[in-house]
Amino acid sequence: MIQGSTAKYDYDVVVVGAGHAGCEAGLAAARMGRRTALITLNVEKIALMPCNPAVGGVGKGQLTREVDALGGEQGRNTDRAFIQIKMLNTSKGAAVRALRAQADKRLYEDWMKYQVFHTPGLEILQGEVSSLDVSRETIRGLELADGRRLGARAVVLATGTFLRGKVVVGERSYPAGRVGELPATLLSDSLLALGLELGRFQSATPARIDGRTIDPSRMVVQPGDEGGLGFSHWGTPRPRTQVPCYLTYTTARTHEVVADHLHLSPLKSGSVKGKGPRYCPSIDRKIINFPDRDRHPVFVEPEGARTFEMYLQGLTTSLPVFVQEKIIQATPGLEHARLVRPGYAVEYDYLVPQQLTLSLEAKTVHGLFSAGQINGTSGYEEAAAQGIMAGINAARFVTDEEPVILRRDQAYIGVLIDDLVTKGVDEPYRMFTSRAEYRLLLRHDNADERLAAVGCALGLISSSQLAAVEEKQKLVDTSAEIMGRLQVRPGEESDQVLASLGTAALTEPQSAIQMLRRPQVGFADVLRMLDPASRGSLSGLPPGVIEQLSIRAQYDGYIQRQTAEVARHRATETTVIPSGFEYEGLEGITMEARDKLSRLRPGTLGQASRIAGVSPADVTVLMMYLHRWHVQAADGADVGDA
Amino acid sequence: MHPSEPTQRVVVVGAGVSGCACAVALAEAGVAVTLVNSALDIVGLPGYGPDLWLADRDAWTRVPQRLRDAWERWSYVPDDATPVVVTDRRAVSLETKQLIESLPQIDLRQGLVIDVRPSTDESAEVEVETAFGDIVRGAACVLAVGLGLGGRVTEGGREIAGARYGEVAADALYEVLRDRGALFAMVEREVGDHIVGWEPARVVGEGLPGPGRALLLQRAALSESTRTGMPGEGLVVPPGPHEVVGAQRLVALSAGDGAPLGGPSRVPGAGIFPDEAATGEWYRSPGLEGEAGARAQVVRGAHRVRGLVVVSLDADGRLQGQRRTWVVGQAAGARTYLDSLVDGVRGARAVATVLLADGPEAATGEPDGRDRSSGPEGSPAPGFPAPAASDRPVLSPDHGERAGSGGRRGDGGALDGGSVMPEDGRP
Repeated sequence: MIQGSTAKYDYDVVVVGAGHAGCEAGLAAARMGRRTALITLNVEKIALMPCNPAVGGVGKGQLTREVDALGGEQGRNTDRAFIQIKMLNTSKGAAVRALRAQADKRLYEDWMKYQVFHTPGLEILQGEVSSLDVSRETIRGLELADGRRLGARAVVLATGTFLRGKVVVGERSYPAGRVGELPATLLSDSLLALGLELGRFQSATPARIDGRTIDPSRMVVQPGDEGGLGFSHWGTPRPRTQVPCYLTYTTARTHEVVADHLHLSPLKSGSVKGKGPRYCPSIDRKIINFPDRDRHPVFVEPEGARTFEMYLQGLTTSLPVFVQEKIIQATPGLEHARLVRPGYAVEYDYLVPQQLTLSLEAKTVHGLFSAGQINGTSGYEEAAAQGIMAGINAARFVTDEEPVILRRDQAYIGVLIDDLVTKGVDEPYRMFTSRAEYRLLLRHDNADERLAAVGCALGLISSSQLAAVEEKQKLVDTSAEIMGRLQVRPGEESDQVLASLGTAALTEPQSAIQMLRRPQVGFADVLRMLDPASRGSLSGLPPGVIEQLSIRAQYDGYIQRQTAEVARHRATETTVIPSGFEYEGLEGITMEARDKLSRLRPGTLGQASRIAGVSPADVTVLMMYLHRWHVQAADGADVGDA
Repeated sequence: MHPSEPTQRVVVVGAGVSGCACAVALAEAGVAVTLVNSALDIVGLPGYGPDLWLADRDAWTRVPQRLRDAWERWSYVPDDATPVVVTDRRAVSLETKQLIESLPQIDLRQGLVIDVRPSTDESAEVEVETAFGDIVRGAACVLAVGLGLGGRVTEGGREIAGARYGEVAADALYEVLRDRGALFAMVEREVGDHIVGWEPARVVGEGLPGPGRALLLQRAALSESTRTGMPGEGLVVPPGPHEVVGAQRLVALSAGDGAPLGGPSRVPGAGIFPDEAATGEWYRSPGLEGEAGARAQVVRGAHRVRGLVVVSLDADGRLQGQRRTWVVGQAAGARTYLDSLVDGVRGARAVATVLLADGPEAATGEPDGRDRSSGPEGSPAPGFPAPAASDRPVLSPDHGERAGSGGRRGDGGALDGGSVMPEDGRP
């Protein structure tokens, strides 16, 4: 607690910022029984979706599913608020399939507000944090700009784009965390005073247009998928009529307009200094970087069921407003589109994430955690993923429990956090499936199998929820086993079915699971080819179980290979490097590697291996030294005991 | 196609209570409007708590019916005599934005306005410039910027620039107006706090039928209404994506109707009112601290907002020396939500009357083709309720008392804002 406490409020965990990271952090800590405060600059803006009101996508959707499996809110909240949902990459492999939903942004806020305001143990406070109270390298609390002092045993910073935020269009700018909203001007200084290193990033959002002024007949309608899709493992979304998006493409004319005005781009003029996201590039950047591409897709997406405002995914720019209008109107279907909100860039401070441990705690300030854009990421999903982990680990810090660290072979969340704290960021980080080594294991469809037990152990999901997951797994196992035994025989019946599916007839009996391995053959087809007596044991299986059986049949070999690989790497991965380990004078390791290792201080050998400049040879040598160190430490301990 | 030429367009700066009323009234009279606000996430929000806001039912009838509906649906309206309290300000805001979007005459535009000046372009009379360099032109401009001119929010001894809590102030616009000779008076208002974790001892109005049934169920039901006027079947809003987010109790605990709150600090007209269904927050009028018991947890702290009111206006509410710029709402001295609504409508009428008098080329295109170009100068534009003497807000002596700096309109105490504004602390 604060020394000489004048604190009126004492909390276990204080979360700063109530966006997508902060809400998850606050909910997780409170649900774990910690007395938690969630501080926001403006209650009106809790859980605002300031960019695209969409959740999910390839890589990102997996994160949302994992947050949900752990007991987080983003998936459920999206299910309550979506106006369109679809499964992406259905024609591709299971590893890259993912959900993406378009939310009604106001309803999304309403529901998240409802959750944070109605979770016992979570208090919402409006105010600006002016400084952190740290003594003996440990967080003690914080102070608000109005003079209030809050005691806190752990603090989670989730400030988004608000730290010294500045919004920019062309050569114009003004201080703001988002347009029209005051930035957080005081906290950055406090972080610098603690010796923490801040960087500067920028992010941007495209223009919004008046949906009444678009011409859908010139665009491709993109409807949602029917069939009750939803993000959450813990309930089925209420059925609803979905709203379509529209697809159009930029033209040579669009590119001309951009090229003619590039000198006015803040990227060129230097009025934006922070680095922007390469993977969510502005149209300016796309045209600079890909001069040969004659068109880029533009998705025109509704911002809600009760607004005509539409988002222009693919046309992000912070060129001057009159240029933005020209760019938009050079695009088919948008010739008469009327601009409602100009696109703009926002520049803000982030905390260089290599200063964090894998638990998202600052290495030099115990009990200070951070999550979301402040750690150099972009996206609501990346924010929520870090938010729930920071909330969990802040809660556990309070009770002196070991942090929960998800491995790279266990979750995209593990990949995300490990990438951040090990490799750092030189642009806002966005999740992709290609960032994961074991993406066949980290599927959208098995997040519950991977993480529900973790969520349950933390008290974030109930034991009956976990039981349902285990029940399902058991059913998959037994059904797979049954299907391995049941045989489909060559004959009139199976010939007919297979011919109708356009696949070769059988020459000899095959197991049901082998049949399912054929891409053309669905589960129902296999049932039809089995004799009626054996069918019974497989009928009435829930769709989730059938999905798992199909994936198992098709990918079993690959999955087993990746699992074996994981086991092989596990030893390296989990070998702990003691915090006081001395790299100076280690022979056989390159100077560059030594420098980086002593500066970044990886927590495990696995982390060390992913630092740029540390070669596999360095890792091998380091492993030897570590082994020696552990042996010596053990000897020392023996001596001490004796 | 809605009219878009600047010669026919009124630029309304500020999409709060008065700006939205002005825009809706203009639109309903067939006048094209560009409604500009610094951020469009929140439009039409009654920004300072759900205070008792409606006592004068006569004035109320001059507010456009659909806007009245948006407010009444989310207010506690016990009977014709008792004051009305908003029970879900956010819902009022949502509905107001939806109403505005349903009117084809209104274009919404996001931008922090930093200047309003005579237009350099011949096609228009005035032009408005935003912080992003966006220029919006029109035949007239209405400033409805609330307390944004030099707005300051003070909470617990710390003062920050801001029109409302957390929002960027219109300081640049204030400086421009000041430099052009506008005069200001400072006004200040107290905003109560928001609390949760409190159960009222005495409840007024629970279970009453009528338009005050502030249940989010209605929010859900309303969302099922189909939007019209959008091209393409895809844009027809489907039923059902909205659900009930909590159910707000219909409660107004008020000392205003004579019910004792039980404490010594009883303030007439004040109360503890439910304010938002999603959060379950209650708003506690200033002066009632201590009325809710120890279990109450403060979410949004009480604070003071001060800002500058333009006093150099002619009898019509027009900015002196600026032929085509009017000021309405709080920025012109309105005090209550009702004042602001009525003043917004009054401003709309004044503007439309002048536009009509300017002849056919300045007349507005009417979607139904009605010819409105023949209105003589001085006769009120059709489509507006008859003006009432009480419509123009008059700064009461109370303004001066609150500000502690004089500033009553017309009494010579009007202050040049430059002398009362701190030079530092601007963004």
